[in-house]
Amino acid sequence: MSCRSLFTIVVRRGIGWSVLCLGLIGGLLVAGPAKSRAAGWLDAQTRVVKIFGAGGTAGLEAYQSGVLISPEGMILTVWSAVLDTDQLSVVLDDGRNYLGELWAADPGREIALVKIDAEELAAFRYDAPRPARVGERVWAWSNLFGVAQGAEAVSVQHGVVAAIAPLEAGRGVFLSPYRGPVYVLDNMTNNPGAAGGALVDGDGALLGLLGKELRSTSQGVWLNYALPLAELAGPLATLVERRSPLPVARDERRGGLDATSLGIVLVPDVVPRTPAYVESVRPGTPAADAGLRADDLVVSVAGRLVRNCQALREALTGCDPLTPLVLGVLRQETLVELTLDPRAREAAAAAGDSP
Amino acid sequence: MSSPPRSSQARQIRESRRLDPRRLDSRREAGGGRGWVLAVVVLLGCWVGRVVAQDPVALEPLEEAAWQAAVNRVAPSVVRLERLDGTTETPPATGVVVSTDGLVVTSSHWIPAAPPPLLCLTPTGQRLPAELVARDHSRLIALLRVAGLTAAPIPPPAPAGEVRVGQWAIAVGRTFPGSEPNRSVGIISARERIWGRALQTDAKVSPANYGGPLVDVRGRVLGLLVPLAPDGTPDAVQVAWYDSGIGFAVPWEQVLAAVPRLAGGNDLRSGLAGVTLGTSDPLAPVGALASVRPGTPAARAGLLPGDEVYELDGRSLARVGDWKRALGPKYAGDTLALRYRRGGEEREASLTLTDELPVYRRPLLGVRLAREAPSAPAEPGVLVRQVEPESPAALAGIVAGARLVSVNGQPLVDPSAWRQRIGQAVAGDVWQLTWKHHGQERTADVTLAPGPPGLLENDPDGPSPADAETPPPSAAEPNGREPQADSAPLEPAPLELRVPESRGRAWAWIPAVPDAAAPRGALVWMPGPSGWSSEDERTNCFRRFAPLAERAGLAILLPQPAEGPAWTRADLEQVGVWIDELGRGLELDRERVVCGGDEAGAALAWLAGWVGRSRFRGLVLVEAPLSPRVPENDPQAPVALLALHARVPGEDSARAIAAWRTAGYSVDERVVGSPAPQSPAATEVLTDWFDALDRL
Repeated sequence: MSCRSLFTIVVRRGIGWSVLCLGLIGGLLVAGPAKSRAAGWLDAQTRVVKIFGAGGTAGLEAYQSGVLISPEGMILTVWSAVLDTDQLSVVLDDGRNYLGELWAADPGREIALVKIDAEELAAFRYDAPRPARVGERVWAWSNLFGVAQGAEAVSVQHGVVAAIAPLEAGRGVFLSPYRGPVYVLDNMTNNPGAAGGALVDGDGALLGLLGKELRSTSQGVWLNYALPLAELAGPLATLVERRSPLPVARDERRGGLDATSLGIVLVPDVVPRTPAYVESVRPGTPAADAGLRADDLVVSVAGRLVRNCQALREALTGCDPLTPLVLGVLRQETLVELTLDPRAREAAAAAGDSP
Repeated sequence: MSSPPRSSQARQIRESRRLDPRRLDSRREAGGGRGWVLAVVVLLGCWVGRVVAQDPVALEPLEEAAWQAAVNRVAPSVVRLERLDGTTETPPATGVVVSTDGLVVTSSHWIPAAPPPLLCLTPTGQRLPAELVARDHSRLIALLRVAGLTAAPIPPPAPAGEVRVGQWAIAVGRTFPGSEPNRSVGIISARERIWGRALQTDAKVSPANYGGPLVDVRGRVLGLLVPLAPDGTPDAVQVAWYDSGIGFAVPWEQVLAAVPRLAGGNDLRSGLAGVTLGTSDPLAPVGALASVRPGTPAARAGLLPGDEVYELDGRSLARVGDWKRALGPKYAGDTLALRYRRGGEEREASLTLTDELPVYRRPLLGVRLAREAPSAPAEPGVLVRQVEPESPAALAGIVAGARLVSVNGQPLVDPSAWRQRIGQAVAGDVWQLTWKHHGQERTADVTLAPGPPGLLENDPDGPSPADAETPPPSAAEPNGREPQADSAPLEPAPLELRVPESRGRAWAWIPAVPDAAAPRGALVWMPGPSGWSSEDERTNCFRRFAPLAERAGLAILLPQPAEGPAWTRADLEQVGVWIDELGRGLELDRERVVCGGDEAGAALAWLAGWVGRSRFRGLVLVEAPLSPRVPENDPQAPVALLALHARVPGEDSARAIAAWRTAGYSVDERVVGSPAPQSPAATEVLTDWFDALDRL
């Protein structure tokens, strides 16, 4: 149905223009201000800067991107070898070139602050970040491949948040120290120079910081991701004050569990990838009580897949010794779940000692 | 966007549209309250106001909501699949539920030939054992059975006929931790890719979603994401293409059609017909069939070379690409109808495709043809210069000097007609053969014998290692060659070949021989990887082959790479150009063009021989092992192999020879004493082998 036919009906039926106008105004009021991306959204262009520093050899680029988070020139970027120089050059979208000072860094999250001596710059807010949703439309602003030079603004790429998942990625053999959740993107942001760029939503609000070039250890492919601002806001507040933020939260290893004390004897772990087959089960132990048998293949611990003996041992060390534990076990063609009660260990150990 | 979005905003729009103005009119005429009308008009105004306010940017949240709704709709049918082979690096894959009794389809690339235990993690977080049922090798699909997976719904399919280029396409995977599937949003880039087997999308397709569904904006399944690639052989996994903006999905209706066939536990493979079209250029017109392999579906359907196929499986064929698109989606075992023209007559046939073409083994008649120059006008038919004792030809009474004129009533106009004829035949075929001798015409039925395993095997003239000094063939043969006994060795007089804009260099020597009119064979001798180091080295090589060239009537060609010290593929391709150039100034016997080399040079000869396969009829390897990788034997481009050794080679060599012979190739191996390259016995063996190259 077109607008014109509506108008025709309305006019032919002799209803006053004033009523129509009233309706139109009412309509605009009901609809609220148009949810336009254009207004604040394009401002991101002026809030993402180009950083030039050390590097340029051995496949490492000498440039990256950064995000202005204060009108006085505080810039959030990734912690990298590019910043390892006294001659850090920060170039704004209008071509203004500043000498950057490495203000503070959080190697645990691989982020850093660079300060330039400026005033009244357009900046992103970071104090009340909104978490992104999976499937949300996002835009990535960065100086990928260093294509923006001098007075040119950085580039923007469009995509969606493909997934929100813990960062399990590394470059070469070096794993990223940050293992918290990241926004996995379907934009191709994994490019030289893109790290430190801004991930923004349709309103132009900052959602995250584009990460470094990393290869996913689980997928074996290059990963496009951004560090969620929601994970960075707290540390940022302390970094801005040049204090050390709290270290990255790690799994609390409260003693943990081990296969032996549960009564599980695994097959000899002769190669690094020996599947976690049970060689035998010591009687009177939590494993025996739960019905674990020789030749069972342990495939999961508390719902997490374990592919080999080593992975099983590591998974057990992360388990609470006071909480019942569910093991997934492949027995011939069927998968069974067994619940072990680790608290029975003490009794078993005591019984084992007593004779 | 092809569907109404499922947001509250959109619902408001739809509901405001449902208001029918005519109903208002009747109310008003019936004296209904004016307040009603006012209220409705305000509502209408609201709607108009909204439309005005809705620029494209405001549509973005609606689109986003639609994508989310689409993924949510398919998510309960998308499972994560894991492989338990002990390594922690094995990435998970994605699968799609296709039945309520636990059948799941996925990409086959991540499942090794002998699958380790497989697990399925359901959308509800349950882990279940899975087992491989069967694979579709032509589309990289695997069907798994997950016992106990009964609660997961079958996803809605997108109607096959409605898939449009440019519509939204969302690639969905379940390979990241967490309850929500991962997704990438794009559009359909093309249909009927990879010869009719795939949709193309610009959504990011990678190990993160291989095996997952490609869905439309309503969450209906368009296809299954697989690592297919345009130029890859169907079995080759092309994961390297991931996230490139070019991703492929097997159309869902093709997947669903394959599921019942796979459920029986039998793998599906690409269907083969057994014909060649003479060119692989997809833009070339489909002309006459260049060849029809004996014992293949095409041969059983009665097709002959020269038939012009113009319709296949209901699709009309204009170009070679049409043929491949019509055949591409078909499996071995599928039957398809075709229409063709033969001599102006329109015919029909039905073809049941196979997954493996039978090994082609050349049959033996037992004649050797006279080497008549193709340009020399001769009477129709092919002249026999020699008949092998006890061969089918000998038993039928054919003698040297006879001229074969027809097979099964069809005339043999020239040697090329003859070669095509023998390329269509298999051992056991009965030919009604007509020949002329001394003005008399005779006809007899001849049963073709199995071809010998090597050219020198069962050959009356061929030397065994014990009698390598057998004298060359006698002068009794027509066109036979009488060596110039006791004459001084010929001194090489090479010339450098020149081709405009050519790469590399090449030198040729065409020694003078008694029968200058007979077409020449050619021996291309490859240097080591760094090329010919000096003119002396080349001269020595020419001298070495002088006796052979003289007796067998050969030209010798020595190629050099463009930029030493390594041979590139372009350099190897250039070898074929040199041969063509040689053929310009010389009547070349295309049946006796051979590439060879010593040791490392033999490896290069091997490569050059397969790169330029259509030009070479033989490969000579001196002191070099036979490759264990055996390409398919092609009746239209037969290649004979000759391996020369200084000492008796090991068992590996015997195994390799057996493999090549099993694949239908003619292979000879001779021990010629040390050093092999310079051994006089080598010259004898080569002479006989060259002479037997056109043995049939």
